[in-house]
Amino acid sequence: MALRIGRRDIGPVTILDLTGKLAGEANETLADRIEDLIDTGRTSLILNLRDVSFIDSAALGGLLSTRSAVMKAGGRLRLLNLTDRVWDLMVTTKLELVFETFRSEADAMEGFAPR
Amino acid sequence: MRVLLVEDDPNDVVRVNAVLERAAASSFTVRTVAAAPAAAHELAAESYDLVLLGLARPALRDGSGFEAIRGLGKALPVIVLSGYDDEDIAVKAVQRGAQDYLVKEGLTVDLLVRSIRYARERHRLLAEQNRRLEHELKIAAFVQQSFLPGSVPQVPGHDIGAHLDTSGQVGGDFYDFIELPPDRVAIALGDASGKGIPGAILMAETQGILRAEAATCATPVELVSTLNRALLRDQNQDRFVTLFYGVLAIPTGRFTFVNAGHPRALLLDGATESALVSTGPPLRLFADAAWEEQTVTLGAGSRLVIYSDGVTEAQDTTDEFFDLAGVRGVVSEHLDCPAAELARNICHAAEEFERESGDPGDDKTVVVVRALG
Repeated sequence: MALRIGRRDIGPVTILDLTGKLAGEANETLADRIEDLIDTGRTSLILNLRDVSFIDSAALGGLLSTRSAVMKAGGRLRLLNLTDRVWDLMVTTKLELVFETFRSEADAMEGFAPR
Repeated sequence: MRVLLVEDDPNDVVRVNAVLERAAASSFTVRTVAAAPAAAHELAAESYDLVLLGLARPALRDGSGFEAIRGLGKALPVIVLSGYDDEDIAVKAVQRGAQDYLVKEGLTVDLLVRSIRYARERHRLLAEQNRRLEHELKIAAFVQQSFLPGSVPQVPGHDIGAHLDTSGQVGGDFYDFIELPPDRVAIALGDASGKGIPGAILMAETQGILRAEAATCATPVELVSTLNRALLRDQNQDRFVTLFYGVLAIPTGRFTFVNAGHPRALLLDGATESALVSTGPPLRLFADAAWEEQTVTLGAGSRLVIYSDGVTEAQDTTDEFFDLAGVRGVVSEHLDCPAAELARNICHAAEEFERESGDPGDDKTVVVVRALG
């Protein structure tokens, strides 16, 4: 299944609800989408991964680059609702220590400075 | 020139034919079918030089029109004839492989003839370029194959085997065995992130450094740290390498390893299974990374199975994963199988599992070490 990206803006925070697999071309689609958000000044970002069944290693590298780009623009990228499989990948690669991950949307929203 | 016109609107069929008939300098033989599936059938049966693909608004909106361009454009130049004058859609059509996008309303003899002539020439050049690239990829695949060890070390009391299948012509997986005299052998299985040429280049760089450094590094953790430092000299941060690297002490069967962000390896000893999980991050991500080294003993009759994620992440048509359950299943079916055969069987079972899905999947590599009783 290709990646579908839904967008919700809650105050200064943008939540991207992702559905499908984050692999192959979907990786670029997501990176382009986030680049567009950064260009429009929206840099408080949450990726909701509840319906992402699979992330491949290239996409994981892409998420790292995206995180760097968001931070460079003065923002933050947080990950929400990781499935067991995606969490297992994070633990294996030790990237759970790098990404901010959350199990509830309310927790993920907390601490984003209002504009 | 033989032209296949794909058009379901009878008025447009008449209009396009009339335009082509007025093209005095070129002679066109036109055959018309109503839809893309019929066109594919016609192209399989007859030889054509070019496709004129009429696309109505619904087909451009629901995406089926772009699929048709992609399908038909593989073999022949496709010119889209649209009733819909939209710059974005025109660009998308060209991105999907159309040679040109013409609006039916403004169609003239000069415009269509020129478009056909340019489309054929561009398609010919592209095909030539693709052939050259294909040839170079074949050479790259051959070179990459030569990086793999020509033979597996003959280790007293142990049977070692490996199998690697790339999903494309070149891939990011590798395995290696390095003999460390007098009585040790290093075993490596790595996976550079990214498919195709970028993955292959990173894989070649990693394996080259690993081979050069393995003999001089006293421990697996020293080797992995050295490798990480060397790979980090490049700046592009989003690509990394997962690596399972261990050294087997032949007389004792003690196996000391570092798992750098790689999927867990399995140590199977009778009914007992141990998972040799990640002991640190992948390579090429963090300059200050640290790895833990662990030691297990390969007791008589035990089997160590190391694999790349392309094996466990193979997915069938229902999006189920091959997973560790799939690996365990193959191992239990082939209890007395030689190591090389078991490695091959695991790769093939994962490929079989994903065959129907239509997804080429990822590279698949398995290394098996059997401690003989």
